Amino acid sequence: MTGAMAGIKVVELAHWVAMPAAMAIMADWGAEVVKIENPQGGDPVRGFMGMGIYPFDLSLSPPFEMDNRNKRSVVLDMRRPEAQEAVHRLVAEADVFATNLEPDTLSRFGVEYEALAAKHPRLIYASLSGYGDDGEEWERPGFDYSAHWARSGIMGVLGEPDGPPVSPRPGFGDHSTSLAIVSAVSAALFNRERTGKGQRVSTALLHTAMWQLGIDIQACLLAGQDVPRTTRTAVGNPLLNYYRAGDGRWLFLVMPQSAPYWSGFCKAIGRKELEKDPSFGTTGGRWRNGAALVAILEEVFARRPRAEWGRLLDEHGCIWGLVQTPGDIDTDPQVWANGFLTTADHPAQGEIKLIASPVRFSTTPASVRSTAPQLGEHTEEVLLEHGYTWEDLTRFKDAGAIL
Amino acid sequence: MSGALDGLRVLELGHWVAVPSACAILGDWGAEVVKVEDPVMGDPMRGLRSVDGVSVGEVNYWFEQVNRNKKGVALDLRYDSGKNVLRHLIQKSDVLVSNFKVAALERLGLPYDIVARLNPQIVYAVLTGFGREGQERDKPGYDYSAFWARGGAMSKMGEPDSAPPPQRPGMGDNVTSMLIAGAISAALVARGRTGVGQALDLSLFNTAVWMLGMDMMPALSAGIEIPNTERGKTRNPLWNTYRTGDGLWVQLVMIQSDRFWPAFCEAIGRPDLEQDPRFNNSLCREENCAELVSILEGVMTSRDCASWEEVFTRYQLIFGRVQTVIDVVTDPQATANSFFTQVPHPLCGELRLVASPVKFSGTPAEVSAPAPELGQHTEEVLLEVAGMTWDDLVRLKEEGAIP
Repeated sequence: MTGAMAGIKVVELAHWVAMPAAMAIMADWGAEVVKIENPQGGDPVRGFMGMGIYPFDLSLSPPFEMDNRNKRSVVLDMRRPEAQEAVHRLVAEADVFATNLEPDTLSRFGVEYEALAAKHPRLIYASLSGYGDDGEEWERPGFDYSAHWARSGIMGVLGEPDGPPVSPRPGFGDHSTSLAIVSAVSAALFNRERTGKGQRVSTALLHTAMWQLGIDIQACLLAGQDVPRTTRTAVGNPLLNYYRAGDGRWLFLVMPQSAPYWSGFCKAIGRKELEKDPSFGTTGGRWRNGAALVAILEEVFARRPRAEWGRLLDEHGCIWGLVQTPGDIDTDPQVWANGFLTTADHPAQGEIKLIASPVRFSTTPASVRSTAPQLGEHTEEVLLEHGYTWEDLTRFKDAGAIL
Repeated sequence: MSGALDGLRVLELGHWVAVPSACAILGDWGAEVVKVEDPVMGDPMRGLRSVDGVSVGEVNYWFEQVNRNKKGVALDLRYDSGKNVLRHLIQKSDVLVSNFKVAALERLGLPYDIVARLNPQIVYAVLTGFGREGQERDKPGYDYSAFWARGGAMSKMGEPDSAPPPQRPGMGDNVTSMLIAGAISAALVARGRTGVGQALDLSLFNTAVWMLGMDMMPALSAGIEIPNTERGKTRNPLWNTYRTGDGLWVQLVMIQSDRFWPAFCEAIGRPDLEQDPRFNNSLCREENCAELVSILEGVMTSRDCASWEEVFTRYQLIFGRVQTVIDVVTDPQATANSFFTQVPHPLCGELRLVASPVKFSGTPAEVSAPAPELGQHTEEVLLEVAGMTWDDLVRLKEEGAIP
């Protein structure tokens, strides 16, 4: 069985995280992705270990491996005319061109939408910006910390009232944005089947964040007032809140409609007297006396380790969840049972674990066929496939257009 | 111009946020979405009165945001006649999307093999909390538990040793919605090649693992847990959050700090820092990070947020202001890029909504109708799509299968 995107060819002129992550999904789904990188070190994520994010050294760049598996790497110095010509030749045979370079860079390299669409009307041109293609800030470089997390309101609304905003994790917004990009490219490819026409699909880190925070943003659009931050200690529904268990680990109660669960919940925590308590016995009562109930529950949950609470809550039909760390994921049996993780053979490291693309297809399964390429590993192979000769390659090398 | 998915019919058996939100994207892209709801209960989102104390008012905007552009059919699936109508609709649809529990779908006679027998071309997408395999396959999953808590994000946010921050309602659901839309579109592309549909298995948990990939990868490749971000001691002080003179916050995002250091020192009026041996390269800054953060905290309070924005823009530094949600809905950049859209609504005149987060150059997204009333289109859809007659409808009504 082949992947859903089998036969689709992608030229990726992109760096950092969001667009490479989207094309990693496309590649897992069967597309052939050629990643174009500059000769000055290539995609900066190759050098991630030196950016002060991880307090340890690894001989490979974990995020680069995640977002560039299944791709071939071609090094081209896009400032050189030979390199630009080569990209045009690649695009001529491609279905998708994917980029997150800044607009003026794309024009300088001769690969802006208008230039490629004029020559290749069936091409899907996928682009990503920080703040959108229009407006005063259309050229402002965007990273997910700024354009996605900070600007969209997510950062501003997380955290306790009066506390500092909550810092995101690296690439968090980029990876959610990768899902919108892959959707758009897939929908455009589907549309091309019927119309024969390609088009440009573009998204912005700010816009995907707004979609993500849609419920709060929608509230402001209509209510015209800002939403208050959630405080853990005084929530309106204490059964939609999290508590620290006796072993210091956190568990999350998730019963947004608390009424059907209340009786079972009181039994699970061994506090049957609360069930009919006039302060807490109704949804409205729990809402009004949220802080008091949270205080009781904090004290209750601190008495037993999390695993015991989990068993008791399960026995009484309550909905709850583990608060895990990334380190817990690898040992989570549910993760392996569902194939959320996969393995691949790395030429230098042996078998490495990677996150599978987050959908399972029943007849066109995703697959990781190779790990992330070395910088320029496939330059010669790909250029030769596209009609260049060894003599051309020597000339390119002399001119500095390839490594 | 029509939408990318024009002419496709999507049958939604969804509730709460993730699947309705995915179908809102498909609807914006031109698909006809038929939302089937229980005639008495309906989607529980209809019953939300407030979130965190912000009242819904007359218009339930959370429901509106994820249910625009749909047709509403009320059908009681406890009746055989109701199930029969659904089978008719399945035969006439391209996509069936659900986040009902797997056991509930089986009870309704809708496991994939039966649906595929009714309609081999159908793309059948089911979202679970924790995956379709493993011990927890039947466990109900909400984004708070299955996405935020279980997926690792919650534990990684917030300062070390502090309580983890709460997330906002539907955030994980809305991320997952982009993936569901993408997976369905990809399966439609594959259908063009193979002629048959397939089953898609998605989960909130798996999507979260993808989103937190950059934290997962070191855990997977080296068994290393990255420490939580500590604002006061972040290893790269040029990638951190600072409070400005007017109490607002700015997120600096200069991941490659050496590149920006000279311009940054000039921008903050501290050219003396540039050659200061404690700070003059990224390794020194990392070693002396607490000291530098504390200097920068002092410097940043010397101006208000707007004036820092002006300075940082002039020096081409990468940063973002931390906005509140109300800032976002009045952000001119968001408006200039049509991140919002509007649609006439019977109760409030014009209803503003968050637009689906991709711009298509050839097949624009469109919102042409607000969320349907419960069962608003029951008769219309049963007559036009399921091929029923008025006599059939009368019989269904008498039985109670439709309202």
